[in-house]
Amino acid sequence: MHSILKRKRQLAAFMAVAIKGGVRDRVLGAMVVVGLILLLTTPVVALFSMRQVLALATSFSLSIISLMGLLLTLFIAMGLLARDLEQRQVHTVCSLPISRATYLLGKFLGFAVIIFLAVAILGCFSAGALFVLERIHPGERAFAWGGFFIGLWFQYWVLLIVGAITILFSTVATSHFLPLALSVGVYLGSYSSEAVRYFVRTAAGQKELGEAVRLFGNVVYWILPNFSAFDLKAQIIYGVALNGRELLLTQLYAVGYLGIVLVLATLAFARREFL
Amino acid sequence: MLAGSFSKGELRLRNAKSARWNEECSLKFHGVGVKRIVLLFVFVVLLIGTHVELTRVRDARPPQARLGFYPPAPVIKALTADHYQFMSQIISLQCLFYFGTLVELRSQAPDWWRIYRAVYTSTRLDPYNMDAYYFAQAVLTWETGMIQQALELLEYGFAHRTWDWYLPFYISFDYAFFLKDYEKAGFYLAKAAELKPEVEWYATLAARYFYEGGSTALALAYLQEMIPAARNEVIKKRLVTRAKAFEAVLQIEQAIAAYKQRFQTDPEDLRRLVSAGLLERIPDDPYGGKFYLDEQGRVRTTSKFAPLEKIHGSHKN
Repeated sequence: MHSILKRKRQLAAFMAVAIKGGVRDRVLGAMVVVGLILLLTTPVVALFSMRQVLALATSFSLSIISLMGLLLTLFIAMGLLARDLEQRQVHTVCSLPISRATYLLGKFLGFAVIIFLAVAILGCFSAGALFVLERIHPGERAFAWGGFFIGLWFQYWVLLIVGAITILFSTVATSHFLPLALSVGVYLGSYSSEAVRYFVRTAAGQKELGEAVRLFGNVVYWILPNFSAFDLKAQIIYGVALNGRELLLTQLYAVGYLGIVLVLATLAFARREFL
Repeated sequence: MLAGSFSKGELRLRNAKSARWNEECSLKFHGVGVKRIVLLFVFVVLLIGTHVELTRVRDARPPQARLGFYPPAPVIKALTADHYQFMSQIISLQCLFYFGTLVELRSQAPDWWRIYRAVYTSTRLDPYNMDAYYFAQAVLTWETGMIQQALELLEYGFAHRTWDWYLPFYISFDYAFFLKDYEKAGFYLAKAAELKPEVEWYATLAARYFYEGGSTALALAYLQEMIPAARNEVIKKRLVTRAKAFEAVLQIEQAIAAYKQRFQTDPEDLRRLVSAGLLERIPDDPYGGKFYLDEQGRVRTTSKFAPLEKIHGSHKN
């Protein structure tokens, strides 16, 4: 019992360090600035639409949140270990009676809090802009506010998984560039893996692609996270009905995937030799 | 020299020395080094000169080059991750800007096929994108005669936007007005009426228009529905012009009907309607053409309901 409490305190301490790092980097302040820009530009961009002002505004807002979230995730997750490794602070930590897994998970939790706050800030500014636009240019259907916040929640989980993957790559890589390039590759691939799997199963796919390519397409689908399931933009923008069972499965899938990546990251980090 | 080789104090001293040396060596103008001012001036001249020329060169490109080339939708989808909806909307807006530019610069022939491909890509990226369908209906049908292609796009859209009464309404109009397929038109109009029961004429009047063959009245009713919803000025202007043309045709058709009732025969030409006192004068064609009666006694115009300079546009169908 005592050891569990102690471990929790250690986790909280590393989490606090990671959050302080984010605050020191003025990440949240930057998100407020981006949010304000989003608030001001969304109505301007939306007015170009011929028939769906609110849909264009929503699509623009979600794209900006997704892009900013990705940049922030890569920036923070890359620096999470790299900075400690470079400044050799990790040596001090490793010499204390603290497990490396606690250190890594604590840092990840701090990262998760920062990303949550960033998505929440951007989401609130975006919701403000959409709320005003909905009053001025009501769509043919009432705006799906529930879907909007559920969509942001799943967007947050995408960022958590991308962050965990970046950390996993950082635990084994010795250069800064490699985890970044691999994470971007995984991010892009994860949005296409489902489409690739569908294609290899079609008659055209069976005819045009060789056995090895089809096998590769399937393996990629099972290894990479299926981010298409997390993408609820059509449901948010056009008010298409959400499927509760699918959402629940996606949430559990996300927890499972994140758990696996974090366990692998702690295993890799435990075996890493510091020079 | 590596910073790590010096102590902090020594480094600070060297930095101060270097700053002082820079200070002493450079010629100043209002406290700013003259060298920097000259460099800034050179770059500003270079930027302004090239930007003006670059704008001129890019403006001179053929309109076909302006819309650009879009790779197939699956490729765009793979490269843009979860931004494909926004990308789809950007492509449909590009089509609108491209079309708007052509309307302004009337001397340039549009590449309709390229516009159609872009709209097609946009709908395959985001099958819910109403802007793309609206553009297809407002521009591709009237302007290019790509009725089949527009119908394919609209039917694809209706398969996704199952709640939207505009799409079956557009499809119904295209079948009735352009293809004279009243059976399919009636089918889609019934769908529109189901989705929007409060618009009574969907269910009642339109059916009468179809069966009595009053396509002018149908066209007018359709345009009156389209115009208030048009948010883009270029498209709105064209719809208003078209509505004015149909109003003129309807006026002539009503005079012909009255002439037949009174004289039990068809008028030989439109001047007979004026001399019989059924028309004050032959209405003007807003497209710049002249109205006349063809061999079957139908009202036609020399403009064919298109701006005269646009009839010879590059239309590959």
